[in-house]
Amino acid sequence: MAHVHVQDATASAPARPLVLPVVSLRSAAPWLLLAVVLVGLVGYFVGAEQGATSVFAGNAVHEWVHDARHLLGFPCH
Amino acid sequence: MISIRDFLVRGLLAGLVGGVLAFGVAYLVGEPSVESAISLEGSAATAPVHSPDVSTHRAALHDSVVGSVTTGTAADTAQFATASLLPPPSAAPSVDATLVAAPAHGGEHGDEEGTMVPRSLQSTLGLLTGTLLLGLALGGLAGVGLGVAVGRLGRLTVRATALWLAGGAFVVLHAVPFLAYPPNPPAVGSGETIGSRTGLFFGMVGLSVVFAALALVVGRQVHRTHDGFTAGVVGVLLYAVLSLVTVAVVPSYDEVPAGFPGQVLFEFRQGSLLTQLALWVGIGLTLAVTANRLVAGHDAAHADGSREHVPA
Ligand SMILES: [Zn+2]
Repeated sequence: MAHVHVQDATASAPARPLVLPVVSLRSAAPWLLLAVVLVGLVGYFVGAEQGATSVFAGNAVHEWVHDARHLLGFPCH
Repeated sequence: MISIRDFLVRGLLAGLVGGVLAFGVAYLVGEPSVESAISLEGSAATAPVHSPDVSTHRAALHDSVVGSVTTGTAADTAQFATASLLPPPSAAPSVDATLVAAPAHGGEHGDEEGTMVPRSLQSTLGLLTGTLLLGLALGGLAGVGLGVAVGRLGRLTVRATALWLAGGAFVVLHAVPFLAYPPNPPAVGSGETIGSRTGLFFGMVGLSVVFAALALVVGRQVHRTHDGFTAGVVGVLLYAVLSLVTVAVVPSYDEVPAGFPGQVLFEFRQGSLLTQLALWVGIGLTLAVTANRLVAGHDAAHADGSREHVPA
C-alpha cells in the first residue's frame, strides 16, 4: 500500500513536483491508537480527575491543574 | 522511507511548542479573570452555588488570608464584593459566612490530608503542567494524524494539510464544545451538576469528533465524482449542520450567580478560547514547518534513482 502520489510543487521548489509519501493505514493504526489513548488519559487527568469522578483520593491533582482545567475549557465547578 | 513514528516525533515537538504558547496566553490573558473570579467567590451571592469542589477555592482564600497576615482580608473582600456589586444577602445568612469565617483547611473531605496547592502554584507551575501535558498529547495525535492525512487529501501540500488539520482540530475539539458548554471561571457553576456537566461536555467532544469523521468520509466520497472544493464544502457543511443542531438540542446550564460581573465572565471565556487557539496555532505552524522539511528531505533523498543523496 506504499504507493505515492505526485503532488504540486511547493512555492520554494517550483521546478519539480514534491512526491508525498502515503503511509499505509495498517502501519499507522497502532500509532494512532497509542496517540488516542494518550489524549484520553491526559484529557481525563487534566480535565476531569477529582471532579465528577476520581482515580486518586484527595484533591491534589485537581488543585495542581486547576487553572489549566478552567482555562482549557473543561467544567471544573 | 518515512514512518509514522517520524510524524509522531514532530507532533510531540509541535505539542511542546503549542503547550508553551498556550501557557503564555493563559497566564497573560486568562489568569487575571480567574483571579478576579476567585476573589469574588467568598462573597454572598456566589455562595449558593458552592460545590464539593469549593475546598480548592476556600483553600485559595485561606492562602490569601494567611499571606496577608490578617484574617480581616477575606472578610473585607467579601464585604467589598457584597457592597459593590451584589444585591444584599437575603433570607439565607448562608454558607458563605462559614466559608469566610472558618478559613482553615478543607476539612470537609476527610481524605484530603492537607495537600493544598497554593494559588501561586496553581496559576504558574500547575497551569504550565496542564497546558504542556495536553499540548504534548494533542500534538502527538496531530502528528500521527498528519502522517495519515498527507497525500490523502487531494492536492493539498504538507504545509496546507498541517494547517487544515490544526484548524479543524481547534474547531472540533474546542470551538464546538465551547458553543455547547461555554467554560466558566471559578465561582460559576453548581456543584450539584458537575457530574452531568462533565459527562455532557466529554460527550459533546466525542460527538463532534464523530461528526467530523463522518464529514471526512462523505467528503472523500464526493471527491470521487467532484472536485476538491465541492468535496470540501459538502464535508464542512455536513459537519456544521450536525454539530450546530446538536449544540441547539443538548441540555444547557444557566448557573451564573446573580451579580457576577459580566465583564469577568466575558474576559474569562475570551481568555479560555485564546488559550485553546494558541495551542493549535503552535501545533499547526510547527507541524507545517517540520513535517514539510521531513517530506522534502525524504523526497530529495529519492529524487532521482541515478543520483546519490548528498546531505545538505
Ligand atoms: Zn475550579
